[in-house]
Amino acid sequence: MTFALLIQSMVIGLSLGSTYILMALGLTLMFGMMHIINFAHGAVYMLGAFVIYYVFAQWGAAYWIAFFLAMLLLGAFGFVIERCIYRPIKGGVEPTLVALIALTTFLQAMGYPVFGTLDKHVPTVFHGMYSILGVGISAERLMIIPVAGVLVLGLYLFINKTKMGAAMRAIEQDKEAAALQGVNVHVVNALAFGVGFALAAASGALMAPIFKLDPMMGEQPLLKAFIIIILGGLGSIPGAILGGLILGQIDSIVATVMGLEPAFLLSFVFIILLLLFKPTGLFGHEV
Amino acid sequence: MIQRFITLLSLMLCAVVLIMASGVRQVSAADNVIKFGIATPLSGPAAAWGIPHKQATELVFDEINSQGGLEVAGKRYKVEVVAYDHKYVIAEGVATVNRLISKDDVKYLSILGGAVAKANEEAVNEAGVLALPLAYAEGLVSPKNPLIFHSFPAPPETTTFWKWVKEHHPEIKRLATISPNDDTGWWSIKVETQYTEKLGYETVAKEFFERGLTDFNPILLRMLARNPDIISVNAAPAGSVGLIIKQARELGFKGRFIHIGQVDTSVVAGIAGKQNVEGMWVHGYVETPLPESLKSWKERYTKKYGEWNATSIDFANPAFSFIAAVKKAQSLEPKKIAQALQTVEFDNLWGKAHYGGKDFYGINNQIIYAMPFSEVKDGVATMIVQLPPPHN
Amino acid sequence: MKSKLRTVAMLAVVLLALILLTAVGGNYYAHLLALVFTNVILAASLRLSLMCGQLNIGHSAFMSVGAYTSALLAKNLGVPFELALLSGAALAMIVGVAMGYPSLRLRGVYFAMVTVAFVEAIRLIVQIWVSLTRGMSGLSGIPKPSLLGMVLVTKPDQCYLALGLMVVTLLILYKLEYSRLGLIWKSIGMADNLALSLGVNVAAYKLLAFALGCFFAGVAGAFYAHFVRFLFPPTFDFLMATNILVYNYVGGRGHFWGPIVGAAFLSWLPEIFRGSEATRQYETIFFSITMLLTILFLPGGLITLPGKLTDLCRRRTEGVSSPSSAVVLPGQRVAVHGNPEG
Repeated sequence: MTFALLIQSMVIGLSLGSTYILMALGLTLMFGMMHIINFAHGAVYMLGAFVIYYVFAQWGAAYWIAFFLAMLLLGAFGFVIERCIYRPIKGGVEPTLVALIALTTFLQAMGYPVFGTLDKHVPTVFHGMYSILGVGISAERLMIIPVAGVLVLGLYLFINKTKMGAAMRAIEQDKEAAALQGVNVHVVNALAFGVGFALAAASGALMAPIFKLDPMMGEQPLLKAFIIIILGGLGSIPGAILGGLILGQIDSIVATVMGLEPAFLLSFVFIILLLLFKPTGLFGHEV
Repeated sequence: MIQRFITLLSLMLCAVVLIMASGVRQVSAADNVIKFGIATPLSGPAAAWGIPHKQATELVFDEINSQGGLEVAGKRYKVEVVAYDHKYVIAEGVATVNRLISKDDVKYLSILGGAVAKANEEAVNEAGVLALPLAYAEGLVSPKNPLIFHSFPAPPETTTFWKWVKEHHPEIKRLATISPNDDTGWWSIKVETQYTEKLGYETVAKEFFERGLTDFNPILLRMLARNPDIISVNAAPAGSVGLIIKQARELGFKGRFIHIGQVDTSVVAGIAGKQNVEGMWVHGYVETPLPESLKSWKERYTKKYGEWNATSIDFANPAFSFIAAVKKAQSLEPKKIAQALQTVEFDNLWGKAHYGGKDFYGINNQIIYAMPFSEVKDGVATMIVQLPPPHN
Repeated sequence: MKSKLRTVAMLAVVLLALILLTAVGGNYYAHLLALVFTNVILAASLRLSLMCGQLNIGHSAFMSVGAYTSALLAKNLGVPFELALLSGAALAMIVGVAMGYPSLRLRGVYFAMVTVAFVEAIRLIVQIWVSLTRGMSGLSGIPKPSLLGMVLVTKPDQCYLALGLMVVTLLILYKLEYSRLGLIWKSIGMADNLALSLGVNVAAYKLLAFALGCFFAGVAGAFYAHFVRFLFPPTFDFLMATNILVYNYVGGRGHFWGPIVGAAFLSWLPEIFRGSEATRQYETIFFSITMLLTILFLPGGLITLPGKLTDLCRRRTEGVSSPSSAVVLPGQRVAVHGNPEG
């Protein structure tokens, strides 16, 4: 492998990593704050992309309007799910898991009759190509970095600088103590669902023009997001960022050198080894 | 104690309800109905193939039925489709075919999916049912499977297009391939590479990707470092092809793409961008000029199902083949119909077709007809030539 | 003692019913039942890990090891079925120990993630090692199962084998669960730090539960290989592992019979939807709705259904919701909630 190819591979790795980080955002919140493995994350990502398809590509609204609409609609959906599924189950970890799996299966299966069987696309929003160290990267891919950055910043400020965020952190540390302090656990849970879903929708909405749309499009992002969250550690945003960057590099460099299957195998072996030596991920803490 | 009793009672009740609901009692088939089984993915990612498979077959049979049905040995029959969703999961694939053969008493069926067809090879042979699969799988068409008739042009047939490419575009010399990582992909690439290397092409790269991959940049980077003139995206589905083309162009690839399987280039053009698909060659997909038979089919299909799917054109082959063979054999026995299939000539939507290929496969069980090849011009798949396969 | 006899009698009735069903149902129902029995083995064996509080989403990896090992031994080396099956299960257990041992320190979702990584790693290894497993082409030509040299040719025969394997597995698992070992496992599941402080070698017991689970997953895998007779690496994926987990949760996490009920119910459910013309197209949709409704109304699993029904009945017949709010009239008997035997 030539040096030039290696550099190019690293640039691609950064591009990949940024898409992974974006995909992982919604999951970090729900995972970190509520210890819920949101299995529906991929389905919500998919729905966010389809909102863009219908509102932006079909209907003709401006992209950013469609983008915020996606976040709004799916945030509201998050509230609904919290109220109708999470709360009635009284917060048991495993039934919630099953319910979310069932929800995902349902949404994905419904996608085919509702959206149609052919893959869809959304016209490019950010045009232009840039050459970075010899690699052609499109403007729309580069756009991921600032948008992801804004979302990450927003998430960080929300969790650490707002009252609601403080309430969430309190609940995460000790639910009963928080409730005794007057925190309305239900409202905060609903908010966590809402924000988590909204972030998943945002990443789907941003990725829609870059890739393609189909009802199963959320599967891969879900898997990658999980890997990053675990790598980075429970509830840690810097961990998720670092995890995303690392995974991006592995997926890129190893794939370019050895092909895809060995690359994926290596990434899983890497996770296994990392977890064996650092059981709570890079920056995580005990549950 | 009463709780235990209620437990057992409810268990038994549930069991009975479940069993009754799934219909253990054999519902006797109406006397004048021919049941044609379809095991295909109706949900999940492969639904884009499964749904047109089912719908095309149903459309063909509907039209036969509206004309009075199929006449066999003096009696008129309605042809009905019994379709099950196997979601491209092997266990379901085996279960659905099993259900068709053992429970629904189906004697003729069409399976979609290479791995599923392979998994059911023995079951089909042992049961003596006629199978008309749409499945790329090495060894599927062979003398040990006398009742399996592959109803779609496979790589050994479609590679003939490369001769045309060589004649008309001698400047193309270096070939790279990228295909899904499964038996369909492997076999397609193996056959294609064998043929092209005989013609004198140099294979500079062979890549395989997991279905579901959306970012091909890492392997495209590797591939493009070898400077191919043309990239073959054999066996890849439309969505993946679209992404491959889009990302390859972003990385600076200026050459052509070719897909000798079959792909909906309108979907590809949508995802990749019209200008990026210019000059792409594809088998089995034509947007213009549409022969009359196709225009009419498109109208009828869209009218019945509300959404056009060009894959339906070739996926109607099992239905056309079956009807023609039954008409010739004037029998409902799978063996007799199979015999007829090997000699009958019939019309499919591209023209005259028959089953042949003995020189290549050892048995005349592969559908043969003049296959359409198109070039994408200004985003539209334009037919440039219709070629018969290298073996008859 | 009388209740034990009654239990055994009830079980014998159920067993007889299953045998009859196989005999009467024909090839198709034999096929389905065999797969149901396989799923029961998988679900019940996963329960061992779940009892210890380990969220194990890796069961399909070990099923894969059992399947490929048994298939390859029988196909390439002519090893008789019984031996091949046991070897497959044994290797699955060994791989389980190898992977489980270092993972013992992991807790909760981290352990879950590592099991997911196992599944993917094994799948990819099988795919890459084409010369052995034929990779994505699929491994076919696997011999049918045989007992003492007699090949089990027909589907009903093979189904009886599955039934036998399931019964044996369940007997062993039942004995384990209601032994001192089971008690220790459950205590670990409820409060492992407490157990540790009491001197229990938590790690060793967790590993034992995990390893035994892997053994039976291997048994299920080996049977599957010789029954379906076509192995395709993506079959044993994350989806299958989550399905086995779901069988446990939908059936009921708190009881031995939970996974059995869950596996039977969820394995059979697609059949019902397949049976009706109207629902056939939307099988997956109806299936997921049913799953959702089940978990919403019975978060403790299907196994809690009889309990809830009896509660409902009791409430109706007595008209009181709790003893404390009841006005006791002279001569009226006050119901005691909570049947010691129930």
